[in-house]
Amino acid sequence: MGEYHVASFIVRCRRKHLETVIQRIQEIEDAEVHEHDPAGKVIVTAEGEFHREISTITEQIRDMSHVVDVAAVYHEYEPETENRGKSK
Amino acid sequence: MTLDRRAFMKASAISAAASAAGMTIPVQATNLATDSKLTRLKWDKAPCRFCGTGCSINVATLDNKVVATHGDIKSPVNKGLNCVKGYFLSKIMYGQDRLQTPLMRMKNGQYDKQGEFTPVSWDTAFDTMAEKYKAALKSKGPTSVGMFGSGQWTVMEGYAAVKLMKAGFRSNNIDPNARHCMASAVGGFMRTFGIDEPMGCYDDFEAADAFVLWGSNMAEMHPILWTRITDRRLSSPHVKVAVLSTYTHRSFDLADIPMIFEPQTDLVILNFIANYIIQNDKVNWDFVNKHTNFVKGNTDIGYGLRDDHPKQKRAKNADKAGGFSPIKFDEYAKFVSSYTVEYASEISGVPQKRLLDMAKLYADPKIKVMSLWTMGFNQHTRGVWCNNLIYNIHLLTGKISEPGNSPFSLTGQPSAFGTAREVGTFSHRLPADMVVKNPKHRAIAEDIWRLPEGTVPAKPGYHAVLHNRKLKDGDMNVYWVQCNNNMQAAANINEEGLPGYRNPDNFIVVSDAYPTVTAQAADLVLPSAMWVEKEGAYGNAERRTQSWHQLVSAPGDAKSDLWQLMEFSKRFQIEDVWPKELLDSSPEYKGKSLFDVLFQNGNVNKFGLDEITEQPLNDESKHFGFYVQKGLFEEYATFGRKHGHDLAPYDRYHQERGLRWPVVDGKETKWRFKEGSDPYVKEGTGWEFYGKPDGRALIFALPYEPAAEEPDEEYDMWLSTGRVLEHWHSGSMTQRVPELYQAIPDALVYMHPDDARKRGFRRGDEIKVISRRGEMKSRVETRGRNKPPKGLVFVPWFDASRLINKVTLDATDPISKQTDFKKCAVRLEKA
Amino acid sequence: MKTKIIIAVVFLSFVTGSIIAKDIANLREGAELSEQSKTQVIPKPIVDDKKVTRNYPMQPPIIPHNIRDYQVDLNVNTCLTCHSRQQVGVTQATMVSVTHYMDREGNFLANISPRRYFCTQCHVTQSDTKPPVPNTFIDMNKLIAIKSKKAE
Repeated sequence: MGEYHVASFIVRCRRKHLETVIQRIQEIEDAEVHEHDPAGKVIVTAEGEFHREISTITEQIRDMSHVVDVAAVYHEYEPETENRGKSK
Repeated sequence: MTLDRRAFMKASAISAAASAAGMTIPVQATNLATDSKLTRLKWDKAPCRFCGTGCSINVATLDNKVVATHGDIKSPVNKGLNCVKGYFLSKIMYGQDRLQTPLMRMKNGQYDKQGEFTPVSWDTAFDTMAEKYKAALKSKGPTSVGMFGSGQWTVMEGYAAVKLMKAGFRSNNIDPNARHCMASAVGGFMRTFGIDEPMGCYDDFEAADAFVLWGSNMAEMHPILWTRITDRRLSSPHVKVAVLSTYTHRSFDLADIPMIFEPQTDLVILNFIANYIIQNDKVNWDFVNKHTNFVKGNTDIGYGLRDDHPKQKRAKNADKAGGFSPIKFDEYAKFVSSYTVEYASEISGVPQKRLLDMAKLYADPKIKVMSLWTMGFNQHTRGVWCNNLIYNIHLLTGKISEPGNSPFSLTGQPSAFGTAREVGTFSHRLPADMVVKNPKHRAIAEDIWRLPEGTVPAKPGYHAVLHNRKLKDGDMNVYWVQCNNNMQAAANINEEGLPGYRNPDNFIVVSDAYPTVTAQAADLVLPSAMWVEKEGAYGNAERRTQSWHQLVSAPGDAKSDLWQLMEFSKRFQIEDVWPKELLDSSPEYKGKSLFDVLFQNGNVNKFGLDEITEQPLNDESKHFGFYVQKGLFEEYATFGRKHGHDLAPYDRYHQERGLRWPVVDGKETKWRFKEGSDPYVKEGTGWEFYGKPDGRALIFALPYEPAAEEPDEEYDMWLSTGRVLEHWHSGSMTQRVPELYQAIPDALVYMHPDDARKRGFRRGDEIKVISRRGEMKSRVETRGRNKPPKGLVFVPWFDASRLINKVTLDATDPISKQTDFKKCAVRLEKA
Repeated sequence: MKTKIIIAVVFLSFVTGSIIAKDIANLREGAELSEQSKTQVIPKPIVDDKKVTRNYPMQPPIIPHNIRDYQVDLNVNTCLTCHSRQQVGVTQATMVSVTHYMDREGNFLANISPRRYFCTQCHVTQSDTKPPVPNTFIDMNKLIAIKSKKAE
């Protein structure tokens, strides 16, 4: 029984290399770029079946050249099956 | 998990980050709508789907779904409050197993009573049904077809069913599940006052000085009315609350005078109070002399059991159960004189002081008393007597028809009043309190319905308990159940109900929104639309008629009971259902369909679709081509207008939070039978009980008689059954709402810890409740909300997997034919 | 044996999204009317003190703690000993909704309105047991999210 994780981050990078960074993030599977501002802030989401996968994506972005910081803002997850009653 | 859920979570994530970063996200990027057009909810009014209190609700819909409800602040009934069931109305239509297509038992592509339920089309369903009806009518005649309807039918549905059965198939075998709840109350009204339904209204709650609950558990069964009593009691220290029951329940939390009495001895206590009033010279002579007569009722009237039952054979007046003869006051006073406080205390088990404290509330002319009762009195083998006896007390003291002085017969279902009683969906009735036995009444009905003389059959048909017996005996062979769960609700499932439905000679059709126990016993199951999936009207306990519009569509192929009744009538030519003589007297009907005769008679189809102005949805009207609900309502209203049952014009109900009839000259009536308040009361009379030819109500001399089945050595405990707050009736709706299910999932056996200990039971043990008729397994509860005295157990009936009605006895009040669900004898064993 | 089949069938319908119409006895674990399945033990209440999301804003919140032997009668109201305005500073319990301070006419009172006195007419605990039939009610926010996604 899997889970669905989604997390969002503010990625800060050097203004000059904004376009490159965005392109590189978009190449990562299950990562998505949503908004950015000219000052070098990028809103990114990561999705995955396990927490591990979110961490992997975060690390990848952090390791990229010209990325200054990756700040986690939001993380939510739920089990995959619809389970309305609490069962024991 | 659905993609929508993921999208939603993702949108939340993006929004949170953007917000933290100080950026705004354009609408397209967030999936979280900031456009108010998308978030705006549409609010409409409707009555609650549940009890007879008749709270008004605001319903929010979005995209053809109900998403929220709220107690209507504008309604005088509940002023914004709901009970826990009402607060979950948004979920009752969304149980995952909603019936969406007709299901018929089939083998090898054909109908077969032993077959498996198979989805079929409406056409196939109606074809088979029509075939069965025609065969039964041809071979045995109209007494072989029957219908079991509901106090949860809309007014229009009940009315259409009455026409279909009594004027179409010409059978009086239509009875509602309200027979199980209100028949004794009706019997009481008709015998004492000559006209049905309470004379007071809910305004009495804020005016009374004392409340006496006679066997009703208002805290759980009429919660919003209980809040009005609580409000009054806790705001005014002089107010007193007396509660009588056969076991301690939640209503006792507010009781100043709590009384637990031995089952059936309510009859004794009632007579004691009358005696007390007379002995202490508290009779309101002015009132009694001007407005009452005294009568003595027949006694030894049996128990409504099968004719060959020894108790029936022994009863002297079983065939004259409702009879009475005139007497004078002195004879009445002598009759009740034996009901002393000592006797009453001894036989009932209630301490003398409590009885006297309560009697004083009634006797003191300055104390305004509201008496309230429902099933404790009505589901009683002498239920009509209980109703007559409580009216005695209010009549002897003149405490009636004025604010706060109110003998109030509460109703259980949302429209037992509005539909079952007022429309007359009973085996012996016609609309507006008329009866089939009376040729004048039949003539009125035939006139309004534009039918030839002799259409409506004169002989009363089978009532509820007889339905199951006649099905078992094979006398009734085609049966349609709508909007109730009678296999679960009726007493004595093993001996009568189940064999009746499964009798190979019988064809059983059940219309419901959900697969119920009754559907499980049926041959053809039809999917019904529910509540705000159809336009309708209900009438609550204070004579308030409320209407509502259709707000959402029914799922799949589900159709309202009204659509089913009307559409089915198209399958019959009038020659199929009327005999030659009747047709010859009305040759203009020859060759017409039953639908034409009943529903396109110039009245029902009088209003066009252009009259539907407020709401776009009205599936029935769009299908039939005219404003069905208004046409039916207005034709029905003709029966009552100017006869004490006046209803306002239909359109007015869409504007109001209901109106209390009689509505005369646009004004509703709060207190009936009282000059100044009731337009029908003649000037100068003060009070006029105009249901009786001489305007006088009757005070009845009626004794104590024992219950049909009392505990003995073999079956040593009383069994009482009833409901709980969180579940409505058989639980078919509420058990499918997770929060209500989890509030109280199972029907337990509530008992006294000493009774458990004596039998070696511990709380939570699985035990069997056994009677002469059957048994049921459940778990012991010794510290629940209901705390029975020693010698009695209580089991609620909301649980489809624990059918307590396998154990109960189908004894009835012989006058009202209402089953006594509160008294039979059982023994308990470890399972 | 029958129970297992029903469970498998019901599980399938979760996956496929449809209900197999033959399942008539869904509140009875499929038992024939002449029979009765084994009764479950009396479930314990869920008492983890965690707030449960309301289905819509006006819904009375679920009680997430034990209320065994709580008294609400003419003498005392146990619930208010923690949830009244004066007490929440000490108890950190959720204060009763401000709506509970309004009388029938909508006037605000100093104390809880008597019409709100019996808490369990609206607030209920939950037993730790799985409902036999799921409910497909959709939260309004989810509906809105679906709508706006469509609107893109």
